[in-house]
Amino acid sequence: MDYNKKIRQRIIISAVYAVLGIAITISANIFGDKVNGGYMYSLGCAFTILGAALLVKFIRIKRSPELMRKFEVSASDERNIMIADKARVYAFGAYSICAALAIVVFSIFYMQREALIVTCNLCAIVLLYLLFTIILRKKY
Amino acid sequence: MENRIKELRKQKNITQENLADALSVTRQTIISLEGGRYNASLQLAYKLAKFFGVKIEDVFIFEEE
Repeated sequence: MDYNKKIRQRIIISAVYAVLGIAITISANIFGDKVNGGYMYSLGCAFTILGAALLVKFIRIKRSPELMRKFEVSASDERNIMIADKARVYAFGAYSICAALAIVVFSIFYMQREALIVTCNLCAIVLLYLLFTIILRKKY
Repeated sequence: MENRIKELRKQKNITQENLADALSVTRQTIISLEGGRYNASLQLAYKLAKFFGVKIEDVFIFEEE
């Protein structure tokens, strides 16, 4: 795998995050009152800070051969890949349980709109899971 | 699955860091392998066996449940 290319891609993605964050922050200042400015402003700041931090990190890695080597080892390390995969699996399971509980709680308290939103969300994720299972079964 | 990585590494008189560098993995992976908390993939098992100059079955001890 070409890790120089991978780093370049990550630098571009980080820059996009930062620019998107700045755009959202500016939009929140302009349209704040109309579209729930508080949330938009927070989201914009979060994207800007995340994008800037990642940008600095990946530029440092690109400039230093030692950091680049460490990045390559870390990115290709099979244990790290396994941990990331397992974390995604656990996150999916935990989210599904939390969403199912939320649907029950919302239904008990007659919050039909909220229950419907969470139900649709959960159904969409389960459908995506089934879709990817079918695709991966055909691939492997 | 049990393994003899620690034993073979000590026979070669190398550190976990050196072994990790030679196999292009992190030191944490070597620590987990030696502690038996993580089972290596077939690819890494081959690399380990090749590095120590032994057969895979001499590195990993397969126990049928």
